[in-house]
Amino acid sequence: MELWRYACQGRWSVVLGYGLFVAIMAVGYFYNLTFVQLGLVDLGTRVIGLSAGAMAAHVVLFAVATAGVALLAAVVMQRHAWSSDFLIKIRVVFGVVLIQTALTAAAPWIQTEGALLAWIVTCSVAMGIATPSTFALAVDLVPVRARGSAAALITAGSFAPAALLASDWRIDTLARQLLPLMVLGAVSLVPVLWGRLELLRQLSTQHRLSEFSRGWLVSDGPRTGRDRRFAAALLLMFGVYFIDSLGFLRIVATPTLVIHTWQAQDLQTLVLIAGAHVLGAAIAGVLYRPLGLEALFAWIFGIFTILHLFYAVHSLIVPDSYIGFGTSMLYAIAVSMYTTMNFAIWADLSTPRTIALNSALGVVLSAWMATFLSTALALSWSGGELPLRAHFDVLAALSMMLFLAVAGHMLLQGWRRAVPS
Amino acid sequence: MRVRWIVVCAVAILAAGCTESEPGLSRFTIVSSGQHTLRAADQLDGNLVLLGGHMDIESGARVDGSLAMLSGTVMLDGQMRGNAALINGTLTLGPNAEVDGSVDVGGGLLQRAPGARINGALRTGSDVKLLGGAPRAPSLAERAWRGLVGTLILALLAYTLVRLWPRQFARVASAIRQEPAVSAAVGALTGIVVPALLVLMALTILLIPIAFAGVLVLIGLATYGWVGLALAVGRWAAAALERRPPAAVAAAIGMAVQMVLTILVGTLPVVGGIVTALAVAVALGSAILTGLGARAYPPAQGNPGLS
Repeated sequence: MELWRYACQGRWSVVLGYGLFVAIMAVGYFYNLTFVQLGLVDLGTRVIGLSAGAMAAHVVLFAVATAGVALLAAVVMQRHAWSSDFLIKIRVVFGVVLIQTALTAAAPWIQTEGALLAWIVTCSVAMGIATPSTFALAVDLVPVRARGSAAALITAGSFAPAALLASDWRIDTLARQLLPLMVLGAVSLVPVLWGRLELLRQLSTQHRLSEFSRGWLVSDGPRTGRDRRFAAALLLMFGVYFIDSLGFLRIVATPTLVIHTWQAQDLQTLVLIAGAHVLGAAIAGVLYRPLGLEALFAWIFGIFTILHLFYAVHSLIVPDSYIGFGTSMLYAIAVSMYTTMNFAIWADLSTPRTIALNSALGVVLSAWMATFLSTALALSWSGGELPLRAHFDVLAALSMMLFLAVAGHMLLQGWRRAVPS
Repeated sequence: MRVRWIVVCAVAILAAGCTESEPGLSRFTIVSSGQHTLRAADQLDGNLVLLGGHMDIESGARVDGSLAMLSGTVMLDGQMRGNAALINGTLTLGPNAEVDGSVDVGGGLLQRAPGARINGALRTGSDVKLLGGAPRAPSLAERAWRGLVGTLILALLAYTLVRLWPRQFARVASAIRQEPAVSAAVGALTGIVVPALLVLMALTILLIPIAFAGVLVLIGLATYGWVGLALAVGRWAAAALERRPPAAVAAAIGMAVQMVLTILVGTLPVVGGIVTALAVAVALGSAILTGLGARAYPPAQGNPGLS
């Protein structure tokens, strides 16, 4: 809707910038959640033959290295005021796309643990540098009012093809699928970097406009209030990523839970899961501002509670039978909802000066640390043969605890507003 | 699928303890857990129902009946004289397997070795017929009559409700007009998550009454919102015709219009279902956002944010 308004006003630089941001983020995230998250585990365990424990250690190394590089890059960007420099950010993104393209091409040839380590370190550096740069492009390219819809498009644009195309999670298949996309991405950025100067000038000055610069969650209040708000977002996002990742890795390792769902051979099921991702993203994109973040988090934790209780009941009553695709659709909705929030929330908690560091802190401390730590924990639990039901019991309890905490806080806030002191 | 589950479960429950049945009655063998083997030259009289566990029917062994699988695994390398119905679990047909009847795969996994023979039909997915046959599709005249009666009842309901609570329904209609996307999103989320929660509650047995009450509340909310949507449609139609009828009359007219549109759009494959679901989501969401019309939406004080 917002984009349509800009198009009607003839502000094509805004429309183009919005499209560029959505494309960069969608491709980047698609790459991250298929090639890096699923491909890396396949490369280590199946191709090289690492044990679950050794693979968990490699994943932790990857997480820590990427997090460290991202934070370092963000601090440097903030110190040199590159956080609001569009040209520097887009050039960094171009360089990272070139490195990732080379890494994608090289991945199927890796056969030894040493080569895997070198690949992990290079990938960590590239992804670490890319994170603050790409997220910080939001203040240059996406107006504040349109961030919910942009985030929804990014989520739908990355999850829907991932659900449809990536049912085979072997590294060589993923490399074959992603290499053309990466080459196309690199080539597409060339005209943006060396194209019409007027367009570049417009894009690089948009962050000075009030409709781009200050996120809607940045208040004029005292700094402690803003910091508390940021910390709350960080904590909640960590929780949701942790629960999702810890559960999903166990689900994909359990044939009865994936054969008729994410790894179904019939197109109809995959289309339904992709559709659920689109629906979840659309719901979160629409409700992102009107409903408020706490209410959305409460919904997401509520959905995860229901889902993990379903999985626990299934593993208790009929562990040998195949679970239907309804659970995977509900799962897809929850995942798309919080991912949409993740793509918008850090920019909306920031100004052009702080966006690089805030995004890096947000993505690293909540999303990555949670994802990779829970991945390591899931591999370790699965290696230690923790029963499936116990695994889902823990997750259901964790989800419910966070749901009750958020819902309780909302009730308390509502009560305080209703009964002024 | 649900009908088949119920039928097979009912058969399984009724058949429990009937393995030593009198002559002339059907015999059932129910396997719920553990590993069992029917060796070469062994013969099993009657039907086999698998609720779990593993059953190995070796080459040369014979089952004089049909197989119904709800869970577990069956490795069939012998002969099956009847049909096989796979609802869940894994059925593997070995190279010497022979099924005299048909094989229906509604769910689960069927693996078939090259030499395995199915003398009847192999049906999968939507080709699988429900037990007792599919219900007869109503004729065009029957559908038109049902649609007319349904529309009249709902129009009367809309007229009565809006006449009783005009301000409340005006708020619901206003929320739909001002924030259709937000209403649809809230409605879709509620319509997806709450039924899942109710199913989970029903699985506990103890909470079945609460789950049933929850279903009624959900239907009530959707109906309330549907009347609000009718008022919005009626007012839009009246404005297009430059008329200003009373709210209750506008709601009744709107209900008639939206029911006709819903029936017509519903005939379109895929798109019809999506549009109808979207309309129901808008209705449900608007009823929730306005608290059944008790408050206006969007609120005057703005968005809540993250406190």
